[in-house]
Amino acid sequence: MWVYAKLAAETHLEYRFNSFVDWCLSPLISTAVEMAMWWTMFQAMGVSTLGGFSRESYLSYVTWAVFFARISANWMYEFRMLQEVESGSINSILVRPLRFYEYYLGQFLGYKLMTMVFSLLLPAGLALLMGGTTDFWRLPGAIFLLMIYLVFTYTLTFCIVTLAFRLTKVGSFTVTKNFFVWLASGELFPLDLLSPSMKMLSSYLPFASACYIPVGYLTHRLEFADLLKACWVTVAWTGVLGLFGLFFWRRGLRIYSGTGA
Amino acid sequence: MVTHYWRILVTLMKTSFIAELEFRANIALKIFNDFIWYFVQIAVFEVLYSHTSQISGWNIGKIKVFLGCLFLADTINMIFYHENLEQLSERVRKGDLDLMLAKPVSSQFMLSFYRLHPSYILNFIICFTWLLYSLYQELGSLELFTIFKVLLFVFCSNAIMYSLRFMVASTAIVMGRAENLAQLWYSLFRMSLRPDFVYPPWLRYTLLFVLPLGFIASVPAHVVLGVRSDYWLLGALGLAFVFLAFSSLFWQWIVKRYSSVSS
Repeated sequence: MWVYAKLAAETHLEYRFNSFVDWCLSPLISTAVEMAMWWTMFQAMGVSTLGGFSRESYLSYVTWAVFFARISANWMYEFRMLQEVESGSINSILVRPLRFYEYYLGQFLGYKLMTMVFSLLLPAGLALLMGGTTDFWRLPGAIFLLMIYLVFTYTLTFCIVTLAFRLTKVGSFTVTKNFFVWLASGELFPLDLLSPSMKMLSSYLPFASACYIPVGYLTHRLEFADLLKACWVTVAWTGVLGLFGLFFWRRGLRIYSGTGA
Repeated sequence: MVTHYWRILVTLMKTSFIAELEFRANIALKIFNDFIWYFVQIAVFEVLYSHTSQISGWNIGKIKVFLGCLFLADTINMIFYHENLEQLSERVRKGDLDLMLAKPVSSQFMLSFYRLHPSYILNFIICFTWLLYSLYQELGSLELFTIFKVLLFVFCSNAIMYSLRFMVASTAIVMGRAENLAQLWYSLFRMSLRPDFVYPPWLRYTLLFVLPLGFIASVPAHVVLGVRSDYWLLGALGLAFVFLAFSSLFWQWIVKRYSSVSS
């Protein structure tokens, strides 16, 4: 798997501007916009706190949120994996002595580790400059949860890919999933703003582990117990999805007719 | 010439519809996805307005008009050029652009409208109805001139959005792999998902006069609600034609730097 991770890292370094846009430019623009928006919103609303948190707390949250959300997102590899099944080019992987799941997991994690190293330097710098509520001692815990979430989101991708054996074109599932994650991860707004019942529901789903929980923990909205609970929830969902994925992969291979071969 | 391109567009619409019907479940899911996107945008404001009744004098009713303008502009984007511009980078990388350049029609036209999505017409009808209903709720009546303004703004906002997006996407010609430039576009587009009053003045003016993303939904909502004068409509029309012309010039300039990869 290490070899696949190295392969992904080298491939992405080949197109450096493309990677620079993904790791730095694009999230930096989004962060600047979100920060400007929350700053003005507090002024326009004429309130000092929103959902129990101050403006500084929101600014610290959005400093990190976009970057965490960008690292945890998986649209590029998902489309590539779906293309493999749709076009039939998966055949070249099936005949090799390697597993499809590991082949792409290695590449995905390699790419995400590089993204993490380069991307997180920016919000760290911003947080140091602006002060706010960021606690850097909590960063390892937040990154640990993010790593678990990456395995979860990849497993979810794998489950969607297995559907392509039967339905061929399933790109729309990816879009549906991404919209849901967008809302449920806390990228758009901190989940504290949701109603108590919705917040309770989100705590049993793994999506908050992409952004809200790690960023909330890092910026003192949440405590270690919340982080630990999110770890268990995400691991449990990964296990369940892994079993589903394995089941559908086996069934899918049985009906797969090798389109394009 | 206009008739010639209109005929091509109608033919592309027919062939795209036939191609779409091949995967019917996918059509249903794509339409459903757009509704989820609408739901997400509405949810953001519903959550914010659950903590306050007004933001800068805008209540939730006015926000619904803003969202209606945004959704309407987006449906045209989805029907005509969203997928084509998203695939532009891949076409360049795989050398498919050669085929487009060899055709006896404008390569910019073919690249932008090669594959259409007529199934989103349903979304257009629903969003248009929703916008008119929201306007009626907010204004108390609905004049024919207001509907005309809405339709004219849909054209202007799409001309501006298309031009900006096309220019960002076509840089793939000099960049090689540029999948993430699409992400850059989404980061910029994100600014148009909120009414311009939520931004500080410097960003608000940037969105109006430098990178006119404010014209996608914010300016239309202000004008149809009567917050800003109708002269903004003339400004939007002017900007639309300027940006369309600029995107064409940009394409002619950048396509000279294209080195075929398929031959």
